[in-house]
Amino acid sequence: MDRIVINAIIAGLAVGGVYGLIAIGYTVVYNGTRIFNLAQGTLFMLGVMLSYFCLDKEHWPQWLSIIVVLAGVAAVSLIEEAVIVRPFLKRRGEGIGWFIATLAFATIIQAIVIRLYGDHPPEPVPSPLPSSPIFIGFVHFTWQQVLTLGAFVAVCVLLFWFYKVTWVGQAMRATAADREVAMLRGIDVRRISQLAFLIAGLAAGIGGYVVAPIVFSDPSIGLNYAILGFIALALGGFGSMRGAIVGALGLGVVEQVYDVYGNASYETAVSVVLLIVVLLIRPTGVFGSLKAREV
Amino acid sequence: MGELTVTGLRAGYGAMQVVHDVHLRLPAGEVVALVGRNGAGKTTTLQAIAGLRSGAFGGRVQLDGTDISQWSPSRMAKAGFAFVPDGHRVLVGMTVEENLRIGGFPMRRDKRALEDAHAWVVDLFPDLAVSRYRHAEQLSGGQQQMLAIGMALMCRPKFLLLDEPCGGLAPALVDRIYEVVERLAAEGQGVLVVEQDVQRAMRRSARTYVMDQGRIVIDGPSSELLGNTKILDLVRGIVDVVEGDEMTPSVS
Amino acid sequence: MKTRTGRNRREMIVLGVIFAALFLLPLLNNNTFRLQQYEYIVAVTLVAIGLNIVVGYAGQLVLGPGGIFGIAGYAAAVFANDHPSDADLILLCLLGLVAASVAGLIIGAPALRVGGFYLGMATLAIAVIVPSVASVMNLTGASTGISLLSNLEFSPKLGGVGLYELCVGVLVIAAVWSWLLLHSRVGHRFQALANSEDLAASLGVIGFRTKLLAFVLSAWPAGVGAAIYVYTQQFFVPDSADPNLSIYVLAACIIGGVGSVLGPILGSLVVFGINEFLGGLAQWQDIVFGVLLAGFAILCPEGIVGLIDGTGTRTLTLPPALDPRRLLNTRRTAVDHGEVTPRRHRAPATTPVTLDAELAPSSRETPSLNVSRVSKTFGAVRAVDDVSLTVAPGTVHALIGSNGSGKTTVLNLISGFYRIDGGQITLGEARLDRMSAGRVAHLGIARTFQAPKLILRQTLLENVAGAASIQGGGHDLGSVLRTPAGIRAARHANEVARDALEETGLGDFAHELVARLPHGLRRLGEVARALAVSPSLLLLDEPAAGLTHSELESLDAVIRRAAARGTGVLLVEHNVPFVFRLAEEITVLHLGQVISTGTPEQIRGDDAVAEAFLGSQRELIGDVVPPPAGRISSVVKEAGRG
Repeated sequence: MDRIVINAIIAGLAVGGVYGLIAIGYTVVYNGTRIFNLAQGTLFMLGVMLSYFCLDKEHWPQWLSIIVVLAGVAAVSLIEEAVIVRPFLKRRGEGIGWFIATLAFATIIQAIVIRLYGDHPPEPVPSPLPSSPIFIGFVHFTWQQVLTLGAFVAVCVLLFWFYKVTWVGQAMRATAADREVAMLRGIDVRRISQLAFLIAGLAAGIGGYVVAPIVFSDPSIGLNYAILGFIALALGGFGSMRGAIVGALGLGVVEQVYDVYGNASYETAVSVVLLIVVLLIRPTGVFGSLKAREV
Repeated sequence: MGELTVTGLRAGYGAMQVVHDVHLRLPAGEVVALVGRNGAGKTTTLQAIAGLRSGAFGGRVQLDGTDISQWSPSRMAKAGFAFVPDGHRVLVGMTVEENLRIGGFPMRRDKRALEDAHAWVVDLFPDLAVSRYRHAEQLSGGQQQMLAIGMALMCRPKFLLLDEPCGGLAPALVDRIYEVVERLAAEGQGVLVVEQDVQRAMRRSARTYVMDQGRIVIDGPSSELLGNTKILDLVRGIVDVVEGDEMTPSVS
Repeated sequence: MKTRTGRNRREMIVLGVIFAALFLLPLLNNNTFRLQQYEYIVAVTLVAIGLNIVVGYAGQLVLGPGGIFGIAGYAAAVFANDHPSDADLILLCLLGLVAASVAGLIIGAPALRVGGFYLGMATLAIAVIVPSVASVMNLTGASTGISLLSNLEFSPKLGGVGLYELCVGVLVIAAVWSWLLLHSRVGHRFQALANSEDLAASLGVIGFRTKLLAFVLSAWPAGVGAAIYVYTQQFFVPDSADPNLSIYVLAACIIGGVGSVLGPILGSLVVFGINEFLGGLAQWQDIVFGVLLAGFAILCPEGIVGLIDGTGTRTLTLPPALDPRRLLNTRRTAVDHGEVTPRRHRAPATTPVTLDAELAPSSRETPSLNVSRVSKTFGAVRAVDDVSLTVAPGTVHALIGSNGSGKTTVLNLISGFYRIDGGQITLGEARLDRMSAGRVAHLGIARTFQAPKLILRQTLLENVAGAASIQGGGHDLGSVLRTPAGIRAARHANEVARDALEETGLGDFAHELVARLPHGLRRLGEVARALAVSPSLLLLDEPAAGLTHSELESLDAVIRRAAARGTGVLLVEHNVPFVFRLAEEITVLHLGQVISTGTPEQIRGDDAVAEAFLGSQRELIGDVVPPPAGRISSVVKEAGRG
């Protein structure tokens, strides 16, 4: 039994890596703009669908496909910033309008993708990685899982460096701390917002590309992943990278371990129940820096 | 010698105009005070000059003759203009050191200039060297105010606008701030200070502008205005200004 | 000038026209398929009416009404399937109602502990898992759902046009119920909460309980709608509660206009009308719909109703004094910048000095407020340090000090908005320092805020009467159902409100929308609202800032009258001469500590005070003898600006 659990944990870390790429997208945008971009899940779906398009339909080589996917998702993310989010950044103290606007954007993107994709069922996306699992003693995992977790780790490391070392990263932290002061001290906060959305778009694109072979080409998954990414942050704590990482990996592990013992069809429901429990006990999450009640 | 010139400034919020036809001059090397009771429009005026007011209706701001009225705040920071809003706002979650670095953001490509500026700021506010690795939120109100001003100084602004820099500070700290202000003026910078305490403002500045209901109602050399009790009455809300009524006319 | 009563009447007329049209619809086309479509639209419109209560009235970002719809729908469908001969529409509606209430309680209790987008995502999550769980459970028919069509024993007694008209009837009832709710005590509580949690707390509204009530009430129409769906469409499948339904219903509320009864109905007709009747363009409808929703959210947040009313295509941009985020930043220094200059307006009329018994505090023995050695620290800032003061009933006690002296913090500590770090605060026997703001308000303590927290889209009278009815006697049920007692209470609240407005000289502005009033009048309106609850202790947070001379006179008179009635008044103020004229006792704060307490004469002569604070103003105080009104008006005239 224990062996199964250990392998489930490993699988969970990989799944957590996917949630993490979405959660990081949320966090970067939130820190830069104080906006929770609910369309992040849809951007992830877009990454998956673009990967399907490039690899399965057009049979382009991997190097070209990844560029197209990243550029495509990043572009849509920037469009969202320009059209949907910017009007709200200009008005301070706005109520819930921005949330609804991002929801509307997610709906539009999903509708366009569904229209373009047509009616046929989800198809698998070819992957260059060998599908046979690697065995170390009783522990087994696949190259796909390694890639997923690896991509997540790489993105995290890049972002840590970005925030701590680069000027622009520091400027982004400053904008998150106090937008007006940042502006007065010479930071172009509009560019910072754009950059935040760009980074989030890239993270979503990487996530979609890496995971497409497993998830198949399904345009309706956006909302599900948006919610799972949010649950990850609710667990780990909003507003910090640490929170995003811990929450995402934790959620993935809990989910996969549950699958061992329980009915996998109820997987998402269990995650939501977990969310409810967290809201009851500790709404700010493990590393929560933000009062959930004040958002 | 240069000057920050504000002509015919009109500003407000959406459709509500709050500041009407304000004229101000801030010469380099001088300390100028802007006083008036709460609600007079002082903060709105400064925000409009600094380019923050989206509802700014019109008027002109010139820095050494160049029209900067339509410039963005970040562009103005690079050109030698700095505005420090009230409330000792600093970047929470970042250290004092990081805060100061952000102050030098527009100069980030010039390492030498940055180091010089940093040394100069720390010389003005020694406290900031001592607490350099502390997080901004752990500082006292007075230290935060010094940090906020220090951040603005990192770009070596030629003209500095301070909105109520002494709010909530102990007298000793108020003195420190004004010492720095006077030193900046002596070094050739123009400093405009919005003040609650009318007498203190007049004692520490060369020229005072009195604002009421969105207009400059009196301005003149501070030494001459010091004894004017009508100004005090005005600022304390006892009287209202009447059009064409006799207040001491502007002394240019 | 569009008055509120005019708008109400307009709304009712439009609703009447819409309902009449709906009743007459079968004349156009009464084939069974069409009727079923219309009945579907009725069902989802009910969900929208419900959602509007928690999102529009109470201002909570709840995103998943489809979840409740799904639970209620399945409950009704399972029952109808198992007891086909018993399943009539009324019973199903009751069942739906009960199921929805239970679901509402279970979901709302944890979810409403958070707010903003947290709440939005949590409720959206519920909306997503209900169909996904239902599609695997055997009880709910797994992925094929429950089909009453294939249940031979199920033969509904109602059908055709009769059934349709009944459904429209239910819709009318729901709309009436929503109206009654909005214009009742409960509705006032919701709207206070939507405006500002602080305002609600200061009126004694307990946030969580009220939100939960709104949530459960919003579930009722959803439950009934689900039952109607089951009865008319004769099936319930996972797709019936698709997450998209939640998004459409939310869109209906936003596009139609939240906060009014007409909004969700109009919005539903638009959103679901497009959906059902844009057959050929079905593939584009989602895109069009998304663009429409985005457009309204960005450009026209008050919806179609808002456009018609002209209450706003944009939220007002706020001056620093009114900007909530600024207040958050400057909390520690208690810096007030009442930077809004009012446009020249007709000055409030001087009012006759009559003691109004209506506004007197209820008990004859009003207790004293005792603040004893209270401290409060924010991070490294010691905002309040060992402060003590007493306010006896019927006296005016002023708290003065420079910016950052801690005056407003003391007020916030007394009124329960901050927790003290040391010391104690009592009102008579009651320990205030252990109470939340809502409980403090229930003790008869009313306060104003530095930035007036009046509900902009209501009139002054509605604001003040709303506050009076929230804290006045009477029961919620009576208020909503308009029982004689409820109507009496509402009328009483109205009278009290009018009195309070007359006292503050705002009688002429009672029917003006607050959004159209200048800053000074709003400040006075704040005071009127505080008076309307007949407080035993009145806490005023810088009421004089930005007031014109005549407004200051009104304020002076109002405070004197309140004190004469037995109300204790604690006045935090900046305007020193105003305070010296009015207060019987003054406490001077400097950097969080009390440096002097005493009568105005004593303070005037106190060297320490002069040194620390009054320094520059000392000569001024020495010279000012409270001048009679006549003297001042010979020196000053009101400027006649447009």
